[in-house]
Amino acid sequence: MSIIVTGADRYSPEKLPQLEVYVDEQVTNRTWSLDSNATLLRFYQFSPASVKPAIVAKVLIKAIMQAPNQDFKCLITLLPERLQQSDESVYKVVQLANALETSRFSDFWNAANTCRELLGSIPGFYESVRGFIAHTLVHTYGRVTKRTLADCLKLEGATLEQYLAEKCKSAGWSIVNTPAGEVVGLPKNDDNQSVVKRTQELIRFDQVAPMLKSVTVGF
Amino acid sequence: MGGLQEFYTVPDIVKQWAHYFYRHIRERNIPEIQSMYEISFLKLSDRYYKASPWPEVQHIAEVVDQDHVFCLLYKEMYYRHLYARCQPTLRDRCESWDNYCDLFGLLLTSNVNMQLPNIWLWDMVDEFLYQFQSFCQYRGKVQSMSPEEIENLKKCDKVWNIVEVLNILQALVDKSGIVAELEGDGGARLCQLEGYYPQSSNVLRMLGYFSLTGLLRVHCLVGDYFTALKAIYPLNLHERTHLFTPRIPGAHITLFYYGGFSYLMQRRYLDAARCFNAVLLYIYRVKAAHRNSPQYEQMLKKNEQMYALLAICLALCPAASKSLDENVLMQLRERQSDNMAAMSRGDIDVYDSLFRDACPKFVTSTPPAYDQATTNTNQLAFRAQLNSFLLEVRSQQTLPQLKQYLLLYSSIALGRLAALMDVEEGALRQQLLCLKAKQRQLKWDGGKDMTAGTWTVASDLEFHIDVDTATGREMVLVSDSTTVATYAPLLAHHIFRFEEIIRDLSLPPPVAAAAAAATAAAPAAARA
Repeated sequence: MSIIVTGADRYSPEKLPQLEVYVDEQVTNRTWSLDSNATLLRFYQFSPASVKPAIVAKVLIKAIMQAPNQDFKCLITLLPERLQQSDESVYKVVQLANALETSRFSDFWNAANTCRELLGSIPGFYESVRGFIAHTLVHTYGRVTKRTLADCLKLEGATLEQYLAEKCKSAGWSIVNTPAGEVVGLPKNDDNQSVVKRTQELIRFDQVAPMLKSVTVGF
Repeated sequence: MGGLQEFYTVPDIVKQWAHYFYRHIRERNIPEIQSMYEISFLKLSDRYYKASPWPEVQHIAEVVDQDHVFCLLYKEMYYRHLYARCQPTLRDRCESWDNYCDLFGLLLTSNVNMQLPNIWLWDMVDEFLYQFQSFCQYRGKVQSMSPEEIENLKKCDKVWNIVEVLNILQALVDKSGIVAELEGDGGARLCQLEGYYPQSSNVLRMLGYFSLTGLLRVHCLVGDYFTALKAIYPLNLHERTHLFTPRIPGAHITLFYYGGFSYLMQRRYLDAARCFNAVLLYIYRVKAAHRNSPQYEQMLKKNEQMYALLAICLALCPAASKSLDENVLMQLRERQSDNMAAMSRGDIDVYDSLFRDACPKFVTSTPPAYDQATTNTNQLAFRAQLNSFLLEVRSQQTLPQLKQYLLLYSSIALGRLAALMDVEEGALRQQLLCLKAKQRQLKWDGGKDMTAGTWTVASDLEFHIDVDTATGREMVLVSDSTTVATYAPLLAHHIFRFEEIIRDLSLPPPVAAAAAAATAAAPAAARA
């Protein structure tokens, strides 16, 4: 089931229980609908008595998983500050999101360690987050040391090797040997190689057309 | 009636105004209605009701045939005047809310045949939301209220309730069918006929049109920027060929102010700068024409606010300056150059003060706990948004300094750069990753959904990290992008300006000719 929330549906409070049930569905089915979750959080803002912090935490965790999309940013401005500070799980999730946003991956993994059950209850969380971290690395590094990779992704030993093997097969990563140890080569894109861009000036006809009238007078 | 009733006289001229206003509305005489609405009403207000309310509706009801619809419209203007010139009491606020419910209820359910000037319909929606904001502000100041006021407030929980407000706006949008109409032809017919379709009423249609902007505004005020941009569908902020709002400055400025602000809070600085650029150019062009209108001050205030927001956009995303018009850039430099220099050094206080001045008046959508009268709850909503914004600013605070260092090199070893900047290698790696991540943002590139977009890199500095395969050292490599200066737009602009000047110079000067004729006649008369 997917709820489409448009028009007057956005503002009918009777939808609240439906939207709450839908959150659990999104968690189990690994789907995501920003519209319906924004509507849910908006209702929570309008009637603080009906807030369920557990559901808020779940929605925010799912939002983190959508990175690099700014969905988390869109939702956090709907939450009153009091809620962010009073409920422990919501507070922790906000810290996690802030760490990810500023690429402080070591802080992120430290914080994630403190709420492992909460994060474990959302299927697909760790894969999505690792996917986002890998995405950031791919756009910054042409080649990255294994040490850095391991620290960022929080994978060691056999799991790291397995992860790399998978990525080499599916995503175009490669292992390169250097005197200082093994280095992982990341797929080439616009951001991680030297591109000398020469922007040419092309003068289009429609830029010149208005002037032609006055210039050609007298012909 | 009781002998204690005051004897209230309404000046004859005011009764006449009401009578003719009513007649013109019945006869659908739009130019007359507009003139009486804009000009006569203000003149009479200044003359008789400078600091007091207009007569209550029952005093003029007899000259307008007790017409129900006209009384509702009159009351709308009555309360608008009251809010502007006097201090509304709780009773006034409740009565005004009831009047709006009645008025909009009537327009939604019965098929009215009248035509009203578009500016009035825009003012209705604008004032409706202004009174909503005003009520939330009033309600939040619990500690300065008397106990009986608090008791009365507790009874009025339906009054100016945010869900009701949103439902009214949405009902106006739905009932007017404006979405289907704009989807059909992109608004071409609306622009051509200015909403005054023959043989039908323009009231519901234009109220629906302006309610789209109303929804955008309310969503911004509660911090819901994503839905705000979704709510203005199918208005298009970036392709403005058939946008009707430029005819009404208040509507156009409101639309783009809240639209640009929504983009800014979602970290879409390129789109935000584009919105602000469009509307600041618009104000630059039309403000001379509106110098005498009552909205002039409001226009100037929004102008200043948007320059502040644009300065914030450029500080957080310098690459956005490429898409700005040169007039706007020039004005921006005049007004905000000090602030921009401070922001590029990472001065948080400047960001804070600019945001405070330029942001909308956020509303706390729920009533405060009346029994715990401790703080002003209006600040809660504002502080939440401010803190969210400052969090974003702080996450970029160290980046300008990093950029300065990177600009000096085409390649440098990571370890060496860390030593130069006096930071740990791990911290440096994190900052480089952060810089790269912050340069990527969503940019709208077509389609009707204002929230859609593709990921683009908005940067004036491109770099990447690589490992030298020979030595195994990590290097930061800065790309060398040479930009050729574009002269074509600049030259075209100046050619056009010079042509205008030459054309003006070659016209025969009419004033000088008349003066010459006058001076020729005067000595002739003197001699005679």
